[in-house]
Amino acid sequence: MAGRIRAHDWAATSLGASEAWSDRLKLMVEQVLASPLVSTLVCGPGRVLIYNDAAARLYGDRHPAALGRPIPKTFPEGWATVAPLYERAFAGETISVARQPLDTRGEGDPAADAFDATLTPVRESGAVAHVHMIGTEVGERLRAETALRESEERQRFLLGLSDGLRPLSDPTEIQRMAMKLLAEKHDVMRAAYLDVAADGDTVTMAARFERDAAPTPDRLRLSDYGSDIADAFRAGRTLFVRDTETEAGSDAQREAYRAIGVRAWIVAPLVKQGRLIAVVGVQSGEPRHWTRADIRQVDDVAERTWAAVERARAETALRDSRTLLAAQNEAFLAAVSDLPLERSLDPMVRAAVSHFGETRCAFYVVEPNEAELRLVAGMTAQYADDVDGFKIDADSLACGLAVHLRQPVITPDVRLEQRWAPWLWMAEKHDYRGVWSFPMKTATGRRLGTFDFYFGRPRDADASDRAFATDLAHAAGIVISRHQEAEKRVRAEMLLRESEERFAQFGASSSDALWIRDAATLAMEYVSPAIRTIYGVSPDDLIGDPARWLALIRPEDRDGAYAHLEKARAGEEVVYEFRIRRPSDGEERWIRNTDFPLRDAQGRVQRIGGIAEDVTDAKRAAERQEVLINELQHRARNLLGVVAAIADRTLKRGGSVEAFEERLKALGRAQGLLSAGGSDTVAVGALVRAELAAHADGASNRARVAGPDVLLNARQVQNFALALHELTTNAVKYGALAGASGRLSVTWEVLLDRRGRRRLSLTWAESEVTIGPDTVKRRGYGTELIQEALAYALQAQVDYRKGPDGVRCRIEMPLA
Amino acid sequence: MSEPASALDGTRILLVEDEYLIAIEMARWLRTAGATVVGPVPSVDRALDLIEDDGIDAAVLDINLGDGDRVYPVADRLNALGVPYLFATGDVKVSDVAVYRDRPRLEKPFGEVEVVRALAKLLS
Repeated sequence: MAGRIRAHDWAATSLGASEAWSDRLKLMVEQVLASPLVSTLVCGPGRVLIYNDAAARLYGDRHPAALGRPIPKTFPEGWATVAPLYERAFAGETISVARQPLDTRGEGDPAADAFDATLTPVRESGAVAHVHMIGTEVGERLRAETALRESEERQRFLLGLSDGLRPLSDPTEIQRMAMKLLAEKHDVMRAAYLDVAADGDTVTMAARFERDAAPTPDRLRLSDYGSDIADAFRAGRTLFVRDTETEAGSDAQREAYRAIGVRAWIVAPLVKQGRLIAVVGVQSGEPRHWTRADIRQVDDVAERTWAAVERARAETALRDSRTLLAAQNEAFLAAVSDLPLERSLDPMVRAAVSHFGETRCAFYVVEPNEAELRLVAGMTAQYADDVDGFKIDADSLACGLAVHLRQPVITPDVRLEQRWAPWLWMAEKHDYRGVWSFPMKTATGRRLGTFDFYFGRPRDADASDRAFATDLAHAAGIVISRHQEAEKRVRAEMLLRESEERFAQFGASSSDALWIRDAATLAMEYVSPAIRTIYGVSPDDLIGDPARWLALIRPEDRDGAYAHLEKARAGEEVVYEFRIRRPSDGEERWIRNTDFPLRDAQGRVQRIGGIAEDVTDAKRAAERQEVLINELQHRARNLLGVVAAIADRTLKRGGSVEAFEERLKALGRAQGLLSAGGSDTVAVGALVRAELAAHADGASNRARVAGPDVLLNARQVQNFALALHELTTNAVKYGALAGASGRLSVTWEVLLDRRGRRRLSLTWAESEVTIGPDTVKRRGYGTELIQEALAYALQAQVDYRKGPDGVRCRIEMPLA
Repeated sequence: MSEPASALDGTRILLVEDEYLIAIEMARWLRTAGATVVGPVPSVDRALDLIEDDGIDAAVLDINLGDGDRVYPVADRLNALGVPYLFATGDVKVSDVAVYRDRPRLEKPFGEVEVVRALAKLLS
């Protein structure tokens, strides 16, 4: 430096040529040059600068031009800072300054250097001519101190941030708290956390903190504020603007900033896994000289907030999934234990309460008609009454709409939802404002119903709420559909059991035997208890091989019975009869079997069902009836033959119609008596009295009728009645019953012949009758009937005599 | 009615009928037609006696002779002797045995003409 000073053309300066310098000046220059510290001499009114090597190093590229030049010209910026100090020194004051910042390099950084300095006036001729400065550069130390302070401050801030965020679990709350701390730290109008959409350009306000901020939209486009901003963010660079008015790239951008009232900002990007996911920034309404520390803080807050949110989300998700898993486990366990549905769903309700806070739940299922919902659990019975039959369609709301859309329907506040207007009374009555309906479906995707959450206060659902409720609804769907399946199974089992009981009861009560055979093997599978009465064997005796059954059938009927069974197996319904030998008593019985094919779902004959009835008695009754009908026919036709014969004899031979009629009536009476008794027999006494009564009023007073009870059969009755009729007619016309004096006695008894066979002996005896001589000779058809007919038809011996005092007739005939 | 009165001239006809009034009426019809009536008799036993005693050309048999007595033994005997006969009966049911089933049959009540014509046909 000494060389430079000697070589310098001082003559061109206000100091003049160095040879003319005063001794004092020369001495001071020597001192400056000798100083190891930064040392300068500002000389004369021209403020010409002379400096040493230490100063030269400090001056950078201003050295060596600064030598011999007025100091204000070389260091315009620095001079502005130190001029007042030099003025005072030139005024005679010795000045010491500590840590004086000084832009010695002219790089625009007022704090680029700093000094501890002493300015000493140098007098010549009593006046201050120069100022000597000795300085110690303290910039490095200061910077270190600043850095330390900033670092401490940063740590303190971050600690505060951590403390502020730690108790929070809600992501939005975490973001909001971080923004509050950031905004306060920077004393700005707004700090915001914005999510970046997948397009990498659209950003949406996730959380913000504002103080006296101009309103700003929730959604912005990065490209509106600079074309390269998004690229810089994606590259992970934090950007800042100290004054938008001077730094904005275009008028349009300036205008965009004005629109949101922003003059300065810092924005830090969050790039995760190569994608720009969010930005965190501060905005100032005034220009701001952001420091590195400011910028760094925004970076820090962005990272820390993101980490805290992620941690909170992970913790929430973990807690949710634990709650959900526990609830699911409990619910599934309850469901497989066949507890009531309400009990099985209770863990779901408790999980909902633990996640959402105070809430009430309800479970709706789709009715079989697919058009309505039914409340199956939750809320109150009163509520169930109010909502049952809720419609499923696009015009419905809450659960009805959710089932229709197959999507959750969130109603944050029923009072703000138009659809709810007609149902507000219900919300009022049951005291809720927010309703969330989450659809449930079965494992096969069939829509099952909804899981509904009711909140006493308005409440929206965030992504985490939705995820949790969706999972709950899924689990509840499984529980409910399992319950439905179980109910269906129980119902089916009950029906089956009832059907079996009914069948068993039917079989046990039937007086006909019911049986079922396997169609393939014809093996007997079931026989009802009535088989004991009908076949005289126990049901077990017929189970299995059809040969056991065939063995009971009469050999000549076996082939036919088996052939009918084959027909039933071929699908025909058959009725057939056969005889069996009943093992219990050895009796032969007629069985009528009705066989019918029992088909499976495909229509194949799987079994043969049958009914066996004992028709032996019915068959015998039918046979008896046939005999009776034949007998009746025989008798009626015979009677007609008899009537024809009587008519022939009576009318063709000049007899009277009256006589014919009387004979017909007698026949009729006899038939009447036969029918009346029901036994096809008539007592002798009844026959006699009926005939007497028909012809003579009060005849019984004049006739003695006496004899034991003797029954005559139909054949005997007809002939006997005709004979009695002829006897009575004669008595009424000519004999005992004609006049007032005649007496009649009809008596009979039963005799035994030589071989011990019974015979009837009847005596008709008239007395005290006066008979005219002409009548005695007369022997007419009537008498012939009495004598010949009885003898012919009944092998009777008839002794008929007309005595002077009346007829005496004795009839003797074998009894059957 | 168009049958000549002598349709059965010279024939001997056995008459088995248990109903007296019908029997004597039929007997009269047969005699009027020129027949000699063997009987009438009301029972199987007496009919069989007459078959053995008298040669007969034909017979009129009632089936149900009362008290369960059926005329079939008489019919069997006539079959054996090759004597033609007809049934004159009020019964609906006649034995299903072929030899009886295929015999001519008169159903009661019948008239004089029917009996005579049936016997004439039987004898022709």
